[in-house]
Amino acid sequence: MRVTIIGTESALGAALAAEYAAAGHDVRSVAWSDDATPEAVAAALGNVPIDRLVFCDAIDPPDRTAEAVGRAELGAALARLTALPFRLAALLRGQLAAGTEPRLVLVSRRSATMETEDGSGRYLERPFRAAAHALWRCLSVEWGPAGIACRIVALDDPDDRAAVAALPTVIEAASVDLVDGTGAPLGW
Amino acid sequence: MSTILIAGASRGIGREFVRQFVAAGWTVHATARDGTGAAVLAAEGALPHRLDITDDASIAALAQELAGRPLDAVIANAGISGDLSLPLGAVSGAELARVFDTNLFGVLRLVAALKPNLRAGERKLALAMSSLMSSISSNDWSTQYAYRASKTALNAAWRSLATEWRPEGIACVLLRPGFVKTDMTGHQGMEVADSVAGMRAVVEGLDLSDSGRVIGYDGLDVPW
Repeated sequence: MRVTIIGTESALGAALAAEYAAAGHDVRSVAWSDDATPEAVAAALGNVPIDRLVFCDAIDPPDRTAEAVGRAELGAALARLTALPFRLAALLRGQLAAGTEPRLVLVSRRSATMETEDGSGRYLERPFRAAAHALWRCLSVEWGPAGIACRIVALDDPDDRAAVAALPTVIEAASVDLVDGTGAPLGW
Repeated sequence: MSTILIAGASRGIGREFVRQFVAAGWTVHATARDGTGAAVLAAEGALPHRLDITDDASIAALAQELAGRPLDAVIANAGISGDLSLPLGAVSGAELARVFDTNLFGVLRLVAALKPNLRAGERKLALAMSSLMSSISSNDWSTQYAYRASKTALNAAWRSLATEWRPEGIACVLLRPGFVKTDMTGHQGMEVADSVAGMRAVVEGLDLSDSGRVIGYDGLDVPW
């Protein structure tokens, strides 16, 4: 398969790229940097079919109290965790549509789901991963009928090596929009 | 007598909240972005304040004006829809940033700035406006990308806020007005007065056990 991994500057993304490469797939890796833009990355990837487009990150921002969280850091979290994957996915729609049984995958965190009780302090992560979930659902509604499967895999721990090793299998098997690291369906 | 602050009150749902809380005998502080809006609020019987929720200095100035005044409830009603005509591929990072700046960042920072007032109040209700559009499980027609994402993010932030403030007795609840005749909806939908009456009934009955919920004008929880 032709696999593109976005976010290989993270241990999670790098490990996932290595898993796919070891299995013999054609892997392209994009390490995200703060001065990158979705438009520039999409242009650099070119007009080449993509079978699996997977977004990873290792963002683990500091806890904040509600009084302390600042507008600039909220904006940066929005740009990285919500706007980047949504915008870049939108820009690569044609490449996905040209792929074989294409899958668009966001590797997220279970802690961003609403049923999570103790999310205190996670203002710089949880709302923006949840927003990305909302936008992935939009992608699924619009692109699913065109044959592009849009999935979210919400991990408990991105440093769990066994969970990362299982990701390619979970990504292939996921039949609903949101699953956990074992492939079991999750509530939003 | 109970006291409330309603932010984003010069039009639509916010203005109707002012009318109904004034009629119910509450002391109502209400905000508008400009002097014209503030005059409208004064005419409705509210204590008017100027506030631009996208401006931290404006929020700080409001907190200063209200320093030492207990508030039983804050309703951070200010919100924008963004450009609803944009197709999926045309939603830029800048458009997301613009909508989130009001609908999440401003709302969260306003409520946080007024936390001392809420702690001093009796009811201790930190309220803001969610939407059925926040519900991912209900989304089978897509569209309205930035607005949806901002309201889902607000739900997530309020879940965290509810956990953080529960030990201090502050209930953090989001309200869903339903589809209401306002400028935002092109004046389609139900009457504003009916929606607000429903939400007021919800607000009257809230306590700490409701913290973290998203509750509609009809009293029903909005599914995640």
